[in-house]
Amino acid sequence: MTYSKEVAERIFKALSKFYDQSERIPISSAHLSGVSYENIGEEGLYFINEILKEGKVAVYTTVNPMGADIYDNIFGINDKFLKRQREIMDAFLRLGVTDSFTCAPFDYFQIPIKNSHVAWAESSAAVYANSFLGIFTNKESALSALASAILGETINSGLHSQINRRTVMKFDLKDVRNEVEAGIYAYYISKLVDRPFSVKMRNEMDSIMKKSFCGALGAVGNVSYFKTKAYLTNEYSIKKEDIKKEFNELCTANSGEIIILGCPHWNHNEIENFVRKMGQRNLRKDCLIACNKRAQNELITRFGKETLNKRRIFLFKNACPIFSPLLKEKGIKSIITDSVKAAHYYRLRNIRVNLKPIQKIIKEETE
Amino acid sequence: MVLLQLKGRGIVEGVAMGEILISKNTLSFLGGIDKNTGIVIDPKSDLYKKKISEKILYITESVGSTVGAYIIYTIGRKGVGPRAIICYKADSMLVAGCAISNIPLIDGIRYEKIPIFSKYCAVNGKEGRLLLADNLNELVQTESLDIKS
Repeated sequence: MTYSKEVAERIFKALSKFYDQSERIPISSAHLSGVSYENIGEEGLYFINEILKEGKVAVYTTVNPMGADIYDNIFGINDKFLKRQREIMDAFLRLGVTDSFTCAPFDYFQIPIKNSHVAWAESSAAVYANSFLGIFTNKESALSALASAILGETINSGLHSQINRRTVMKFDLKDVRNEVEAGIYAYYISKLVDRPFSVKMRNEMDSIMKKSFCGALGAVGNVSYFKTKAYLTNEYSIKKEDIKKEFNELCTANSGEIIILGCPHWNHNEIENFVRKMGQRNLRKDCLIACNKRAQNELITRFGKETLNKRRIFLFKNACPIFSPLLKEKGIKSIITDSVKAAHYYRLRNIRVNLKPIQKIIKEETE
Repeated sequence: MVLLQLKGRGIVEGVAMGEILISKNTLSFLGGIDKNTGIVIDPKSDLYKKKISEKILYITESVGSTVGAYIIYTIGRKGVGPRAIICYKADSMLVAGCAISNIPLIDGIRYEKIPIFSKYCAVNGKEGRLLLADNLNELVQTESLDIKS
């Protein structure tokens, strides 16, 4: 048995005892977190270098974004960080993961077969997988997902079992009009529930609203599944003033020094829509959009890299600006974003946030 | 000589024996421990400035993210980690951290259950048993008969 398999077995054995469930089930894919050097630091790198030396993943595995755009370091993140980040990337690639580095693995990568069981660690992706893709996953931790990827199985607990996917509360989302509102509703609901719930919507959410809802729900609380078709009668009506209160807690600035979009990662269609909505106007501030490398390839054929950069749009590829030294190194203290998840994490890092939807960003931040 | 046996839930297997270091607080491995020396650096902890290396560590709960698991691993590999961890409430971070580091872990032991005389402790992670004593010699003798059997 390889060292990585031995360690994976040890993790499973301990978690089985902890959850009091020893049955394991095969998985069709895994998604790993704990990839950014900003997040895992020297200690994580130390562990990864040892455990990933000779191991191989047993199933199709995607991985979370890195802490810097290592392909195009236009933001000048320090060399030591880039070197360490590349080491982490290489260790994961040696393990046999797909060159993905995204928090939205459902956009460019194999979507697992419906009703199959997976082990996904990124919280927003786990919520999305359960709720919109019809697959079964718990919100895994970095180490449990890694063990699952190496062994090709997961512990049959939590949301893998139908009995734990029953919903008891229903929320009416008819007032949700944009991605910020979708995120705020999810953020508020996450504090009310401790098990799966249902939502009722007037119109179907667009792709960014879906991502925003899942991102916010995953960032706080422990519920990683909701049903979009609600038959329950036990409806909870959300008061508008409660939503306003949540918004005011997260929106702490009237404007910001830089615009940060793509949390969770946007695909090329979402970026293209944003650019088209801008029309002939250009942004007044630098706008960083976190996305997968594959989105850039698609966009270059449509717009050309210079055109985007001239309009002050910069792609942060295979990377996450939150778990990055970017803002600290640039001395940035306030940002503009449409992501509730991003706002939540930036607040924890004492960054002031101007939270507003794309439409308002285009209205207020372009000329 | 005083001796007491307690039973909790064994989560990570392994046996260990040594001096017990008891905290009635939670402990965050991320930011709470100097990873080079094993010294507690969180001023809010009642173990502040104490060294957890080579000790049987008792904490009520662990807090923190996956990175905490990597820190447990690092201090273990550097030889400054604890010999075993006992707690009341474990979380998945502590479970995974002890599992990857081969540190026996028992949960379900309330702080109040640990007698005041406790100075030394022997741990059986498989069975979730621990033996507390005020005297090391006595513990060694009993442990060879009991805990390892």
